[in-house]
Amino acid sequence: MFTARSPVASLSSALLRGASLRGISSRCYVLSALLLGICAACSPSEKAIGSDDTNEPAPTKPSSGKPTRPEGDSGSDPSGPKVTGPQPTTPAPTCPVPDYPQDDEATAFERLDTRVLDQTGNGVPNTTAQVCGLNICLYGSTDDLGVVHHVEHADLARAAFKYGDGLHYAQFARLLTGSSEYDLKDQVTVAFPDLAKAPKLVGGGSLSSGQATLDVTDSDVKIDLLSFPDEADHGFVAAELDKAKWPEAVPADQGLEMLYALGPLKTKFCPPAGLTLPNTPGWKKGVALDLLLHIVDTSNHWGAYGTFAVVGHAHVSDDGKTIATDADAGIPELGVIGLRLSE
Amino acid sequence: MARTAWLRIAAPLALTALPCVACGASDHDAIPPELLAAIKAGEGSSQTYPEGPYGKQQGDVAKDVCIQAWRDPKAAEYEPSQLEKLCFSDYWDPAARDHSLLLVNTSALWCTACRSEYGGTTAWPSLGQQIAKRTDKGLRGFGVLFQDAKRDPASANNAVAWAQTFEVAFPFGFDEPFAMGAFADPVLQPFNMLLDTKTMKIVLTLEGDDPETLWPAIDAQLDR
Repeated sequence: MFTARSPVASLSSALLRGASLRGISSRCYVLSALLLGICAACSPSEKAIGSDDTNEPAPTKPSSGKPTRPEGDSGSDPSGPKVTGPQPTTPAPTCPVPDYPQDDEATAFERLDTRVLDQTGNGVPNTTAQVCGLNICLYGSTDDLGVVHHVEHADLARAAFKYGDGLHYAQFARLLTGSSEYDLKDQVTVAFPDLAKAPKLVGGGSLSSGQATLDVTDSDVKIDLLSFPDEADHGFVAAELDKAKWPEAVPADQGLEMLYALGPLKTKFCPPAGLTLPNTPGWKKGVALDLLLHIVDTSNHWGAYGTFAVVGHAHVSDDGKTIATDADAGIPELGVIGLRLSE
Repeated sequence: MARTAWLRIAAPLALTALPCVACGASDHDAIPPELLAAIKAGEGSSQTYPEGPYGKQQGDVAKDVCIQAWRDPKAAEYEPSQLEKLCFSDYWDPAARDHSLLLVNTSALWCTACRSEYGGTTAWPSLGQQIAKRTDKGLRGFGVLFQDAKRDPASANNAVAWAQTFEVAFPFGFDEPFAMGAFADPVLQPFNMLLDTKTMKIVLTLEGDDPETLWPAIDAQLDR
């Protein structure tokens, strides 16, 4: 690696090198070089030269050889560093996330026009509205009226229109197939309750938002700090979607009968958290259900991007009023979840 | 005592003055041209980077870009106070003594494809693993985070969160003014650019995480 040196130091070095390499025995060169070396060493104006016009002081190298992260905290989880949770006296449980191999060919994308609405039919202003594939993401957001207009050429693998920030509005990924230009009809999401009134999402107890109750008594909670670095955003929010207004992103062939959005998006739990919801579909007492998570992340976890994948199981309560996840089959992370009768 | 003290001061002064007198240090012509020529470009001279014209196409010389970064994020324990100025020019190596290629990657917090590139997938190792595998062959990495989840300019805290999350172990930092905008589209991410560090010419630019194209191309360059 090259580092910039002062001209004086360079000249000194060259004089010494020249005297030595060429067999010059003259003390003049050697002494001059030494003198110049002293000048260079004493110079208070040592600077990084030439790397830009600022001539900022030469950077100091970071210390090395220090211990790195604490053992047991691999940090490999994309949701970010551990935030909170009970202090374990035994080794922390591990919750491996299954990988789902995806090998989609890239196809051309040119344009997309749509509008994002909430459940009341109002445009959703200034929220995430990306066109994102497994390989490339195109940044975008809705305008003040919820309108989205993307024009950009890119070759995308498994492209989807991804909208909603997962904190104020539920996030969905609507797959884009069969064309390079899209005029989508209105895309629907749901607004979460006021974040300012939401219970702080920490481990060690139960939290409620609306009719949803999350049990994280025994779970470590990892909030996605890359998306939500501000502590003020770390509140538990939940909202049910009216089945008559489900978005296009929900596949019709997976038998889903109930859809609930939970945030902040991609908050992970280990072990999976317990979840209790109202029995809106009116399923019979004791019925077994599958719990599916809408995959809006491109990291190949749980299932294919843009689909719903089974992540847990639940049963209708004995009184038929609520649905509760089974022990050891709870919800591993927050997002949009779907429920269906278990086969 | 006073005489001894005077000698302590005068003797070094005399010794340092002697070569100036003997060689006529005030005479600039006395330095042989061959000695001045011994100062090589990029090695201690004021020229620390190839001269322009600069461009962003393959074969163009890339202009120098500097960001706040860790040279070794892990060793620095991802401490913001350990961030320092790091430039393309720090990698200019005309004689390829230490390395021959520099892979510059840009990413943003809003970009999940960028996260996949840093985190790796079932099919492909992470960016850091790929770079580490080729370090001995002369590849260096240079990771640049430029926007947060809301598309605001990236901060030191964003860089810390990213580097910790993905345990980044190659030079990595944040580009608050998006100096990399000279090469990369801020709307379309991630972006990879390969530089020949002997010349700082652009060997390859690639929009998106495309390991099937990127790594064979790098391997072919390293094997040349």
